[in-house]
Amino acid sequence: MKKIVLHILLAVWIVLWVMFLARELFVKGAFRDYRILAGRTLDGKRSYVTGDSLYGFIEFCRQNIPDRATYAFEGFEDGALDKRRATYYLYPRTETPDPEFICAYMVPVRAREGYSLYREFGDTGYIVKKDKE
Amino acid sequence: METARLIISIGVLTFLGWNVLYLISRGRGLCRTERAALSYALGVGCVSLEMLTFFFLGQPLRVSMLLAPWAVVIILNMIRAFREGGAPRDAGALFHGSRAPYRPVDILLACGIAFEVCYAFFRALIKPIESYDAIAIYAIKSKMLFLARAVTADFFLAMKAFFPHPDYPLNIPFIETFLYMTMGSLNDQLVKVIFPLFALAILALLYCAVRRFASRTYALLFTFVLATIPMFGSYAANAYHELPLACYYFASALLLFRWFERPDRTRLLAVSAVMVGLAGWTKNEGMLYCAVNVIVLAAFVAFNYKGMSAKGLIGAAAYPVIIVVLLLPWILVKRSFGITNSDVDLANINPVYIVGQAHKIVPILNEFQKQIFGPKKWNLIWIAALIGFAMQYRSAFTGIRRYVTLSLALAVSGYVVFYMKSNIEVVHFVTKTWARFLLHFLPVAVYWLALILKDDIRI
Repeated sequence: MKKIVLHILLAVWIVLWVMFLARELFVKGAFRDYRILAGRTLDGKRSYVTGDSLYGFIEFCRQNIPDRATYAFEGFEDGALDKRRATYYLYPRTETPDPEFICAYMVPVRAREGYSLYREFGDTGYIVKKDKE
Repeated sequence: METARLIISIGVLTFLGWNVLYLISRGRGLCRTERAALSYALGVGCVSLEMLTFFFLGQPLRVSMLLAPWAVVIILNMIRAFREGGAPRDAGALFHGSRAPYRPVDILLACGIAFEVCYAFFRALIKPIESYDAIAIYAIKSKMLFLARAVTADFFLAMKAFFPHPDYPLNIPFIETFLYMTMGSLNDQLVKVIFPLFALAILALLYCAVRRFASRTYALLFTFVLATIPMFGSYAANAYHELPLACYYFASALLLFRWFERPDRTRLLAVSAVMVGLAGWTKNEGMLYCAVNVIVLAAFVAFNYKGMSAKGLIGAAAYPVIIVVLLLPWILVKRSFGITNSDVDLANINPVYIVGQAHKIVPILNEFQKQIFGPKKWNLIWIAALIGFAMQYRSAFTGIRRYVTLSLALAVSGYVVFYMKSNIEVVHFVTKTWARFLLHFLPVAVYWLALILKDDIRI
Protein backbone atom coordinates (compact mmCIF):
# COMPACT_ATOMS: atom_id res chain seq x y z
CA MET A 1 0.00 0.00 0.00
CA LYS A 2 2.78 2.42 1.00
CA LYS A 3 4.62 1.61 -2.21
CA ILE A 4 1.53 2.46 -4.29
CA VAL A 5 1.11 5.78 -2.43
CA LEU A 6 4.79 6.52 -3.04
CA HIS A 7 4.47 5.80 -6.77
CA ILE A 8 1.43 8.07 -6.99
CA LEU A 9 3.21 10.88 -5.10
CA LEU A 10 6.25 10.52 -7.35
CA ALA A 11 4.06 10.63 -10.47
CA VAL A 12 2.28 13.76 -9.16
CA TRP A 13 5.65 15.39 -8.34
CA ILE A 14 6.96 14.65 -11.85
CA VAL A 15 3.78 16.03 -13.47
CA LEU A 16 4.03 19.23 -11.39
CA TRP A 17 7.73 19.52 -12.22
CA VAL A 18 7.06 19.26 -15.95
CA MET A 19 4.16 21.72 -15.65
CA PHE A 20 6.27 24.34 -13.85
CA LEU A 21 9.08 23.84 -16.36
CA ALA A 22 6.71 24.24 -19.31
CA ARG A 23 5.11 27.31 -17.71
CA GLU A 24 8.49 28.96 -17.24
CA LEU A 25 9.65 28.16 -20.76
CA PHE A 26 6.51 28.90 -22.77
CA VAL A 27 4.08 30.96 -20.67
CA LYS A 28 6.63 33.21 -18.98
CA GLY A 29 8.66 33.44 -22.19
CA ALA A 30 11.97 32.03 -21.05
CA PHE A 31 12.34 29.97 -24.24
CA ARG A 32 11.93 33.09 -26.38
CA ASP A 33 14.50 34.91 -24.21
CA TYR A 34 16.99 32.04 -24.55
CA ARG A 35 16.59 32.00 -28.35
CA ILE A 36 17.31 35.72 -28.57
CA LEU A 37 20.17 35.60 -26.06
CA ALA A 38 21.83 32.68 -27.85
CA GLY A 39 22.27 34.83 -30.94
CA ARG A 40 23.86 37.83 -29.20
CA THR A 41 27.38 38.75 -28.13
CA LEU A 42 28.13 39.37 -24.45
CA ASP A 43 27.45 43.07 -24.89
CA GLY A 44 24.29 42.26 -26.78
CA LYS A 45 23.17 40.04 -23.91
CA ARG A 46 23.82 42.83 -21.40
CA SER A 47 21.75 45.10 -23.62
CA TYR A 48 18.91 42.58 -23.81
CA VAL A 49 18.64 41.97 -20.05
CA THR A 50 18.96 45.68 -19.23
CA GLY A 51 16.69 46.90 -22.00
CA ASP A 52 18.20 47.98 -25.33
CA SER A 53 17.15 51.62 -24.93
CA LEU A 54 18.51 52.00 -21.40
CA TYR A 55 21.70 50.07 -22.19
CA GLY A 56 22.26 52.29 -25.22
CA PHE A 57 22.02 55.33 -22.94
CA ILE A 58 24.41 53.77 -20.40
CA GLU A 59 26.92 53.09 -23.20
CA PHE A 60 26.51 56.68 -24.34
CA CYS A 61 27.32 57.87 -20.79
CA ARG A 62 30.35 55.57 -20.62
CA GLN A 63 31.74 56.96 -23.85
CA ASN A 64 31.21 60.59 -22.87
CA ILE A 65 32.02 60.69 -19.15
CA PRO A 66 35.67 60.19 -18.10
CA ASP A 67 36.49 57.07 -16.08
CA ARG A 68 37.04 58.69 -12.70
CA ALA A 69 34.35 61.35 -12.98
CA THR A 70 31.40 61.68 -10.64
CA TYR A 71 27.81 61.73 -11.80
CA ALA A 72 24.20 61.65 -10.66
CA PHE A 73 21.14 60.16 -12.32
CA GLU A 74 17.81 61.72 -13.12
CA GLY A 75 14.83 59.74 -14.31
CA PHE A 76 15.53 56.72 -12.06
CA GLU A 77 13.85 55.83 -8.82
CA ASP A 78 16.22 55.44 -5.91
CA GLY A 79 17.01 51.78 -5.39
CA ALA A 80 15.37 50.72 -8.67
CA LEU A 81 16.94 47.80 -10.56
CA ASP A 82 17.58 49.98 -13.62
CA LYS A 83 19.57 52.41 -11.51
CA ARG A 84 21.57 49.60 -9.88
CA ARG A 85 22.43 48.19 -13.29
CA ALA A 86 23.41 51.60 -14.60
CA THR A 87 25.64 52.14 -11.53
CA TYR A 88 27.32 48.78 -12.13
CA TYR A 89 27.98 49.41 -15.82
CA LEU A 90 29.19 52.99 -15.28
CA TYR A 91 31.72 52.11 -12.57
CA PRO A 92 34.54 53.31 -12.05
CA ARG A 93 32.54 56.49 -12.47
CA THR A 94 30.80 57.04 -9.12
CA GLU A 95 27.52 58.59 -8.09
CA THR A 96 27.73 61.54 -5.68
CA PRO A 97 25.37 64.27 -4.41
CA ASP A 98 27.55 67.01 -5.97
CA PRO A 99 28.52 65.51 -9.35
CA GLU A 100 30.48 66.75 -12.33
CA PHE A 101 27.89 65.25 -14.69
CA ILE A 102 24.17 64.57 -14.52
CA CYS A 103 22.80 61.73 -16.66
CA ALA A 104 19.11 62.29 -17.39
CA TYR A 105 17.14 59.42 -18.93
CA MET A 106 13.56 59.88 -20.20
CA VAL A 107 13.50 63.32 -18.61
CA PRO A 108 12.73 66.48 -20.65
CA VAL A 109 15.66 68.80 -21.23
CA ARG A 110 15.63 71.59 -18.68
CA ALA A 111 17.98 74.21 -17.32
CA ARG A 112 19.98 73.41 -14.17
CA GLU A 113 21.82 76.06 -12.21
CA GLY A 114 25.57 75.59 -12.54
CA TYR A 115 25.27 73.01 -15.35
CA SER A 116 25.21 73.24 -19.14
CA LEU A 117 23.97 70.78 -21.73
CA TYR A 118 26.93 68.58 -22.68
CA ARG A 119 25.68 65.76 -24.94
CA GLU A 120 22.31 64.58 -26.20
CA PHE A 121 21.28 60.96 -26.81
CA GLY A 122 18.45 61.26 -29.30
CA ASP A 123 15.07 61.80 -27.65
CA THR A 124 15.70 59.52 -24.69
CA GLY A 125 18.46 61.11 -22.70
CA TYR A 126 21.18 63.68 -22.27
CA ILE A 127 24.14 64.61 -20.11
CA VAL A 128 24.73 67.98 -18.49
CA LYS A 129 28.16 69.03 -17.25
CA LYS A 130 29.05 71.26 -14.34
CA ASP A 131 30.21 74.71 -15.41
CA LYS A 132 33.82 75.52 -14.60
CA GLU A 133 34.11 77.94 -11.66
CA MET B 1 39.97 31.09 -24.95
CA GLU B 2 38.13 32.63 -21.98
CA THR B 3 36.08 29.44 -21.61
CA ALA B 4 39.21 27.29 -21.56
CA ARG B 5 40.81 29.56 -18.97
CA LEU B 6 37.65 29.45 -16.88
CA ILE B 7 37.53 25.65 -16.92
CA ILE B 8 41.20 25.45 -15.97
CA SER B 9 40.64 27.98 -13.15
CA ILE B 10 37.73 25.99 -11.73
CA GLY B 11 39.95 22.90 -11.93
CA VAL B 12 42.74 24.74 -10.11
CA LEU B 13 40.33 25.94 -7.37
CA THR B 14 39.03 22.41 -6.89
CA PHE B 15 42.56 21.02 -6.81
CA LEU B 16 43.58 23.56 -4.15
CA GLY B 17 40.46 22.73 -2.16
CA TRP B 18 41.33 19.04 -2.43
CA ASN B 19 44.73 19.83 -0.98
CA VAL B 20 43.11 21.60 1.97
CA LEU B 21 40.82 18.60 2.47
CA TYR B 22 43.78 16.21 2.27
CA LEU B 23 45.84 18.34 4.65
CA ILE B 24 43.09 18.32 7.29
CA SER B 25 41.61 14.87 6.86
CA ARG B 26 43.38 12.92 4.09
CA GLY B 27 39.85 12.62 2.68
CA ARG B 28 39.31 9.66 5.00
CA GLY B 29 35.76 8.47 5.42
CA LEU B 30 34.64 10.28 2.26
CA CYS B 31 33.81 8.89 -1.13
CA ARG B 32 35.27 10.40 -4.31
CA THR B 33 32.09 12.33 -5.06
CA GLU B 34 32.02 13.88 -1.59
CA ARG B 35 35.71 14.77 -1.87
CA ALA B 36 35.09 16.49 -5.22
CA ALA B 37 32.10 18.46 -3.89
CA LEU B 38 33.90 19.51 -0.71
CA SER B 39 37.09 20.32 -2.66
CA TYR B 40 35.29 22.79 -4.90
CA ALA B 41 33.63 24.60 -1.98
CA LEU B 42 36.86 24.59 0.05
CA GLY B 43 38.89 25.84 -2.90
CA VAL B 44 36.53 28.75 -3.48
CA GLY B 45 36.43 29.71 0.20
CA CYS B 46 40.15 29.32 0.94
CA VAL B 47 41.35 31.22 -2.14
CA SER B 48 38.92 34.07 -1.46
CA LEU B 49 40.10 34.25 2.19
CA GLU B 50 43.66 34.29 0.90
CA MET B 51 42.74 37.26 -1.32
CA LEU B 52 41.46 39.14 1.74
CA THR B 53 44.79 38.58 3.49
CA PHE B 54 46.46 40.45 0.61
CA PHE B 55 44.85 43.58 2.08
CA PHE B 56 46.79 43.06 5.31
CA LEU B 57 49.97 42.24 3.35
CA GLY B 58 49.58 45.33 1.17
CA GLN B 59 50.14 43.27 -1.95
CA PRO B 60 48.43 43.64 -5.34
CA LEU B 61 46.21 40.84 -6.57
CA ARG B 62 48.10 38.75 -9.11
CA VAL B 63 47.18 35.19 -10.02
CA SER B 64 50.79 34.02 -9.77
CA MET B 65 51.19 35.53 -6.29
CA LEU B 66 47.90 33.98 -5.19
CA LEU B 67 48.84 30.49 -6.38
CA ALA B 68 52.51 30.48 -5.33
CA PRO B 69 51.98 29.93 -1.56
CA TRP B 70 49.92 26.82 -2.31
CA ALA B 71 53.05 25.05 -3.50
CA VAL B 72 53.94 24.57 0.18
CA VAL B 73 50.64 22.82 0.90
CA ILE B 74 50.90 20.69 -2.25
CA ILE B 75 54.46 19.61 -1.46
CA LEU B 76 53.53 18.80 2.16
CA ASN B 77 50.64 16.67 0.93
CA MET B 78 52.84 14.89 -1.61
CA ILE B 79 55.40 14.03 1.09
CA ARG B 80 52.64 12.73 3.35
CA ALA B 81 51.07 10.70 0.57
CA PHE B 82 54.43 9.20 -0.30
CA ARG B 83 55.08 8.27 3.34
CA GLU B 84 51.59 6.96 4.05
CA GLY B 85 51.12 5.10 0.78
CA GLY B 86 48.86 7.06 -1.52
CA ALA B 87 45.22 8.19 -1.52
CA PRO B 88 42.74 6.86 1.05
CA ARG B 89 40.27 4.17 0.09
CA ASP B 90 37.14 5.39 -1.62
CA ALA B 91 34.51 5.22 1.11
CA GLY B 92 31.89 4.91 -1.62
CA ALA B 93 32.74 1.24 -1.74
CA LEU B 94 31.02 1.04 1.65
CA PHE B 95 27.65 2.04 0.19
CA HIS B 96 25.05 -0.58 0.76
CA GLY B 97 24.30 -2.65 -2.34
CA SER B 98 26.58 -0.55 -4.53
CA ARG B 99 26.85 -3.31 -7.10
CA ALA B 100 23.09 -3.76 -7.52
CA PRO B 101 21.90 -3.27 -11.15
CA TYR B 102 20.18 -0.01 -12.09
CA ARG B 103 16.38 -0.25 -12.08
CA PRO B 104 14.21 1.68 -14.59
CA VAL B 105 13.13 4.06 -11.81
CA ASP B 106 16.83 4.71 -10.98
CA ILE B 107 17.48 5.67 -14.59
CA LEU B 108 14.38 7.91 -14.66
CA LEU B 109 15.41 9.72 -11.48
CA ALA B 110 19.05 10.03 -12.60
CA CYS B 111 17.92 11.50 -15.93
CA GLY B 112 15.72 14.00 -14.11
CA ILE B 113 18.62 15.08 -11.92
CA ALA B 114 20.97 15.29 -14.91
CA PHE B 115 18.44 17.39 -16.80
CA GLU B 116 18.03 19.83 -13.92
CA VAL B 117 21.81 20.15 -13.48
CA CYS B 118 22.33 20.80 -17.21
CA TYR B 119 19.44 23.25 -17.24
CA ALA B 120 20.91 25.11 -14.25
CA PHE B 121 24.22 25.51 -16.10
CA PHE B 122 22.41 26.62 -19.23
CA ARG B 123 20.28 29.20 -17.39
CA ALA B 124 23.31 30.54 -15.55
CA LEU B 125 25.54 30.83 -18.61
CA ILE B 126 23.02 32.09 -21.20
CA LYS B 127 22.95 35.57 -19.74
CA PRO B 128 25.22 37.89 -17.72
CA ILE B 129 24.69 38.83 -14.06
CA GLU B 130 21.50 40.89 -13.97
CA SER B 131 19.38 40.09 -10.88
CA TYR B 132 19.02 42.78 -8.24
CA ASP B 133 21.23 41.65 -5.33
CA ALA B 134 23.62 39.88 -7.69
CA ILE B 135 24.44 43.12 -9.51
CA ALA B 136 23.79 45.82 -6.91
CA ILE B 137 25.51 44.19 -3.93
CA TYR B 138 27.98 41.58 -5.17
CA ALA B 139 29.01 42.04 -8.81
CA ILE B 140 29.82 45.72 -8.29
CA LYS B 141 32.36 44.70 -5.62
CA SER B 142 34.04 42.12 -7.84
CA LYS B 143 34.20 44.72 -10.64
CA MET B 144 35.83 47.23 -8.26
CA LEU B 145 38.40 44.64 -7.15
CA PHE B 146 39.14 43.50 -10.71
CA LEU B 147 39.69 47.04 -11.99
CA ALA B 148 41.90 47.93 -9.02
CA ARG B 149 43.76 44.58 -9.02
CA ALA B 150 44.24 45.14 -5.30
CA VAL B 151 42.38 45.07 -2.01
CA THR B 152 43.01 48.51 -0.53
CA ALA B 153 41.54 50.80 2.08
CA ASP B 154 40.00 52.78 -0.80
CA PHE B 155 37.99 49.72 -1.76
CA PHE B 156 36.37 49.38 1.67
CA LEU B 157 35.82 53.13 1.97
CA ALA B 158 34.23 53.30 -1.49
CA MET B 159 32.05 50.27 -0.69
CA LYS B 160 30.86 52.03 2.44
CA ALA B 161 30.31 55.40 0.73
CA PHE B 162 28.75 54.49 -2.58
CA PHE B 163 27.16 51.04 -2.54
CA PRO B 164 24.53 49.20 -0.49
CA HIS B 165 25.34 46.60 2.17
CA PRO B 166 29.09 47.08 2.54
CA ASP B 167 29.01 44.67 5.51
CA TYR B 168 28.12 41.65 3.36
CA PRO B 169 30.98 39.12 3.36
CA LEU B 170 33.12 38.91 0.25
CA ASN B 171 33.68 35.19 -0.42
CA ILE B 172 31.91 35.12 -3.78
CA PRO B 173 32.91 38.65 -4.97
CA PHE B 174 36.56 37.74 -4.32
CA ILE B 175 36.30 34.48 -6.24
CA GLU B 176 34.50 36.27 -9.10
CA THR B 177 37.48 38.64 -9.16
CA PHE B 178 39.87 35.69 -9.24
CA LEU B 179 38.03 34.22 -12.23
CA TYR B 180 37.97 37.60 -14.01
CA MET B 181 41.75 37.80 -13.51
CA THR B 182 42.33 34.29 -14.85
CA MET B 183 40.01 34.91 -17.82
CA GLY B 184 41.69 38.25 -18.43
CA SER B 185 38.38 40.09 -18.77
CA LEU B 186 35.26 41.11 -16.88
CA ASN B 187 33.11 38.36 -18.33
CA ASP B 188 30.10 38.55 -16.02
CA GLN B 189 28.35 35.83 -18.01
CA LEU B 190 30.90 33.02 -17.75
CA VAL B 191 31.69 33.83 -14.12
CA LYS B 192 28.18 32.67 -13.20
CA VAL B 193 29.40 29.08 -13.55
CA ILE B 194 30.25 29.37 -9.82
CA PHE B 195 26.60 29.02 -8.84
CA PRO B 196 25.40 25.87 -10.66
CA LEU B 197 28.63 24.25 -9.45
CA PHE B 198 27.53 24.90 -5.86
CA ALA B 199 24.10 23.45 -6.71
CA LEU B 200 25.80 20.36 -8.16
CA ALA B 201 27.95 20.04 -5.02
CA ILE B 202 24.81 20.14 -2.82
CA LEU B 203 23.11 17.42 -4.89
CA ALA B 204 26.24 15.27 -4.82
CA LEU B 205 26.58 15.62 -1.04
CA LEU B 206 22.89 14.83 -0.51
CA TYR B 207 23.03 11.73 -2.69
CA CYS B 208 26.12 10.39 -0.90
CA ALA B 209 24.75 11.22 2.56
CA VAL B 210 21.45 9.40 1.96
CA ARG B 211 23.24 6.57 0.15
CA ARG B 212 25.16 5.81 3.33
CA PHE B 213 22.00 4.54 5.07
CA ALA B 214 19.69 3.68 2.17
CA SER B 215 19.48 2.13 -1.27
CA ARG B 216 20.50 3.83 -4.50
CA THR B 217 16.84 4.33 -5.47
CA TYR B 218 16.04 6.01 -2.15
CA ALA B 219 19.05 8.34 -2.46
CA LEU B 220 18.21 9.19 -6.07
CA LEU B 221 14.59 9.88 -5.09
CA PHE B 222 15.47 12.55 -2.53
CA THR B 223 18.19 14.03 -4.73
CA PHE B 224 15.63 14.25 -7.54
CA VAL B 225 13.15 15.94 -5.19
CA LEU B 226 15.72 18.60 -4.24
CA ALA B 227 16.93 19.11 -7.80
CA THR B 228 13.41 19.66 -9.12
CA ILE B 229 12.31 22.26 -6.58
CA PRO B 230 11.89 25.33 -8.83
CA MET B 231 13.42 27.78 -6.31
CA PHE B 232 16.50 25.55 -6.06
CA GLY B 233 16.96 25.48 -9.83
CA SER B 234 16.29 29.17 -10.23
CA TYR B 235 18.78 30.19 -7.52
CA ALA B 236 21.39 27.90 -9.06
CA ALA B 237 21.44 30.32 -11.98
CA ASN B 238 20.72 33.88 -10.78
CA ALA B 239 24.06 34.63 -9.03
CA TYR B 240 22.52 35.15 -5.61
CA HIS B 241 24.53 33.69 -2.74
CA GLU B 242 21.81 31.53 -1.18
CA LEU B 243 23.06 28.26 -2.69
CA PRO B 244 26.76 28.82 -1.89
CA LEU B 245 25.69 29.46 1.71
CA ALA B 246 23.40 26.41 1.66
CA CYS B 247 26.29 24.30 0.36
CA TYR B 248 28.68 25.35 3.14
CA TYR B 249 26.07 24.89 5.87
CA PHE B 250 24.86 21.56 4.45
CA ALA B 251 28.40 20.19 4.14
CA SER B 252 29.27 21.31 7.66
CA ALA B 253 26.07 19.84 9.09
CA LEU B 254 26.56 16.47 7.33
CA LEU B 255 30.13 16.19 8.58
CA LEU B 256 29.04 17.17 12.08
CA PHE B 257 26.32 14.48 12.10
CA ARG B 258 28.88 11.96 10.77
CA TRP B 259 31.20 12.90 13.62
CA PHE B 260 28.39 12.25 16.13
CA GLU B 261 28.41 8.64 14.90
CA ARG B 262 32.19 8.36 15.34
CA PRO B 263 33.48 11.02 17.78
CA ASP B 264 37.06 9.77 17.40
CA ARG B 265 37.07 11.10 13.81
CA THR B 266 38.15 14.61 14.76
CA ARG B 267 39.42 15.30 11.23
CA LEU B 268 35.87 15.31 9.87
CA LEU B 269 34.92 17.67 12.70
CA ALA B 270 37.72 20.02 11.65
CA VAL B 271 36.46 20.04 8.04
CA SER B 272 32.93 20.74 9.35
CA ALA B 273 34.26 23.73 11.31
CA VAL B 274 36.05 25.08 8.24
CA MET B 275 32.91 24.69 6.09
CA VAL B 276 30.64 26.50 8.53
CA GLY B 277 33.29 29.20 9.00
CA LEU B 278 33.22 29.66 5.22
CA ALA B 279 29.41 29.91 5.46
CA GLY B 280 29.99 32.96 7.69
CA TRP B 281 32.41 34.30 5.05
CA THR B 282 29.76 33.87 2.33
CA LYS B 283 26.72 35.62 3.80
CA ASN B 284 25.91 37.26 7.13
CA GLU B 285 23.29 34.53 7.70
CA GLY B 286 26.23 32.13 7.74
CA MET B 287 27.04 33.45 11.23
CA LEU B 288 23.67 32.06 12.32
CA TYR B 289 24.74 28.63 11.07
CA CYS B 290 28.05 28.94 12.90
CA ALA B 291 26.01 29.45 16.08
CA VAL B 292 23.61 26.61 15.15
CA ASN B 293 26.46 24.14 14.66
CA VAL B 294 28.20 25.19 17.88
CA ILE B 295 24.96 24.79 19.88
CA VAL B 296 24.19 21.38 18.30
CA LEU B 297 27.77 20.29 18.99
CA ALA B 298 27.50 21.51 22.60
CA ALA B 299 24.23 19.59 23.01
CA PHE B 300 25.86 16.41 21.72
CA VAL B 301 28.87 16.82 24.04
CA ALA B 302 26.58 17.58 27.00
CA PHE B 303 24.70 14.30 26.51
CA ASN B 304 27.66 12.14 25.50
CA TYR B 305 30.83 13.50 27.12
CA LYS B 306 31.14 10.51 29.46
CA GLY B 307 31.65 8.12 26.56
CA MET B 308 33.91 10.44 24.57
CA SER B 309 37.69 10.22 24.34
CA ALA B 310 39.99 13.13 25.21
CA LYS B 311 40.68 13.48 21.47
CA GLY B 312 36.97 13.92 20.76
CA LEU B 313 36.55 16.49 23.54
CA ILE B 314 39.57 18.49 22.36
CA GLY B 315 38.18 18.36 18.82
CA ALA B 316 34.85 19.70 20.04
CA ALA B 317 36.58 22.49 21.99
CA ALA B 318 38.59 23.45 18.89
CA TYR B 319 35.46 23.72 16.72
CA PRO B 320 34.45 27.29 17.65
CA VAL B 321 38.11 28.34 17.66
CA ILE B 322 38.50 27.27 14.01
CA ILE B 323 35.37 29.25 13.09
CA VAL B 324 36.64 32.38 14.85
CA VAL B 325 40.06 32.11 13.21
CA LEU B 326 38.45 31.93 9.75
CA LEU B 327 36.10 34.86 10.38
CA LEU B 328 38.62 37.07 12.21
CA PRO B 329 40.16 38.78 9.15
CA TRP B 330 36.76 39.98 7.90
CA ILE B 331 35.63 41.01 11.40
CA LEU B 332 38.85 43.05 11.79
CA VAL B 333 38.31 44.77 8.43
CA LYS B 334 34.74 45.66 9.32
CA ARG B 335 35.79 47.05 12.69
CA SER B 336 38.64 49.08 11.16
CA PHE B 337 36.38 50.77 8.65
CA GLY B 338 33.27 51.03 10.80
CA ILE B 339 31.30 48.84 8.38
CA THR B 340 27.96 47.83 9.87
CA ASN B 341 24.62 46.42 8.77
CA SER B 342 21.90 49.02 8.24
CA ASP B 343 19.00 46.52 8.42
CA VAL B 344 19.77 44.64 11.62
CA ASP B 345 21.61 45.81 14.71
CA LEU B 346 22.91 42.75 16.52
CA ALA B 347 24.63 44.79 19.23
CA ASN B 348 21.72 44.75 21.66
CA ILE B 349 20.41 41.20 21.44
CA ASN B 350 19.33 40.29 24.94
CA PRO B 351 16.28 38.48 26.37
CA VAL B 352 14.62 41.71 27.58
CA TYR B 353 14.84 43.27 24.12
CA ILE B 354 13.59 40.11 22.42
CA VAL B 355 10.59 39.89 24.77
CA GLY B 356 9.86 43.53 23.94
CA GLN B 357 9.64 42.58 20.27
CA ALA B 358 7.25 39.68 20.91
CA HIS B 359 4.43 41.49 19.09
CA LYS B 360 6.30 40.76 15.84
CA ILE B 361 6.08 36.96 16.26
CA VAL B 362 2.50 36.60 14.97
CA PRO B 363 3.03 38.55 11.70
CA ILE B 364 6.37 36.74 11.20
CA LEU B 365 4.80 33.30 11.61
CA ASN B 366 1.87 34.34 9.44
CA GLU B 367 4.25 35.29 6.63
CA PHE B 368 6.18 32.04 7.18
CA GLN B 369 3.04 29.94 6.67
CA LYS B 370 2.11 31.93 3.54
CA GLN B 371 5.38 30.83 1.97
CA ILE B 372 4.49 27.22 2.68
CA PHE B 373 0.73 27.08 2.15
CA GLY B 374 0.14 30.02 -0.20
CA PRO B 375 -1.41 28.67 -3.43
CA LYS B 376 1.06 30.55 -5.63
CA LYS B 377 4.07 29.19 -3.79
CA TRP B 378 5.90 26.12 -5.05
CA ASN B 379 6.96 24.95 -1.63
CA LEU B 380 5.39 21.51 -1.50
CA ILE B 381 8.60 20.21 0.03
CA TRP B 382 7.78 22.08 3.27
CA ILE B 383 4.29 20.60 3.35
CA ALA B 384 5.87 17.19 2.76
CA ALA B 385 8.33 17.89 5.59
CA LEU B 386 5.50 18.79 7.97
CA ILE B 387 3.53 15.66 7.00
CA GLY B 388 6.67 13.55 7.35
CA PHE B 389 7.30 15.02 10.79
CA ALA B 390 3.71 14.36 11.83
CA MET B 391 3.98 10.74 10.64
CA GLN B 392 7.39 10.12 12.20
CA TYR B 393 7.72 12.62 15.02
CA ARG B 394 9.11 9.96 17.36
CA SER B 395 11.77 9.06 14.81
CA ALA B 396 12.71 12.75 14.50
CA PHE B 397 13.87 12.72 18.12
CA THR B 398 15.82 9.47 18.24
CA GLY B 399 19.53 8.84 17.76
CA ILE B 400 21.43 11.19 15.52
CA ARG B 401 18.14 12.39 13.96
CA ARG B 402 17.37 14.49 17.01
CA TYR B 403 20.45 16.60 16.28
CA VAL B 404 19.32 17.16 12.69
CA THR B 405 15.89 18.18 14.04
CA LEU B 406 17.58 20.46 16.55
CA SER B 407 19.70 22.01 13.80
CA LEU B 408 16.61 22.85 11.73
CA ALA B 409 14.68 24.15 14.74
CA LEU B 410 17.59 26.41 15.68
CA ALA B 411 17.86 27.70 12.11
CA VAL B 412 14.17 28.66 12.00
CA SER B 413 14.36 30.18 15.50
CA GLY B 414 17.44 32.14 14.48
CA TYR B 415 15.57 33.71 11.59
CA VAL B 416 12.61 34.57 13.85
CA VAL B 417 15.01 36.43 16.19
CA PHE B 418 16.68 38.06 13.17
CA TYR B 419 13.36 39.39 11.90
CA MET B 420 12.37 40.55 15.38
CA LYS B 421 15.64 42.49 15.65
CA SER B 422 15.35 44.08 12.23
CA ASN B 423 14.93 47.82 11.71
CA ILE B 424 12.85 47.19 8.60
CA GLU B 425 9.05 46.88 8.76
CA VAL B 426 8.63 43.21 9.61
CA VAL B 427 5.93 42.08 7.14
CA HIS B 428 7.69 43.77 4.22
CA PHE B 429 11.06 42.29 5.26
CA VAL B 430 9.74 38.75 5.70
CA THR B 431 7.80 38.89 2.40
CA LYS B 432 10.90 40.02 0.52
CA THR B 433 13.41 37.58 2.04
CA TRP B 434 11.87 34.48 3.66
CA ALA B 435 11.34 32.53 0.42
CA ARG B 436 15.06 32.62 -0.36
CA PHE B 437 16.16 32.22 3.26
CA LEU B 438 14.34 28.87 3.21
CA LEU B 439 16.89 27.78 0.63
CA HIS B 440 19.69 28.08 3.20
CA PHE B 441 18.51 25.03 5.13
CA LEU B 442 16.50 23.32 2.37
CA PRO B 443 19.18 20.64 1.69
CA VAL B 444 19.37 19.82 5.43
CA ALA B 445 15.56 19.62 5.52
CA VAL B 446 15.46 17.21 2.56
CA TYR B 447 18.19 15.10 4.22
CA TRP B 448 16.21 15.13 7.45
CA LEU B 449 13.07 14.01 5.60
CA ALA B 450 15.04 11.14 4.01
CA LEU B 451 16.32 10.16 7.48
CA ILE B 452 12.99 10.14 9.28
CA LEU B 453 11.05 8.39 6.49
CA LYS B 454 13.64 5.68 5.94
CA ASP B 455 11.77 3.03 7.88
CA ASP B 456 8.50 3.99 6.24
CA ILE B 457 9.60 3.84 2.62
CA ARG B 458 11.38 0.61 1.78
CA ILE B 459 12.79 0.96 -1.69
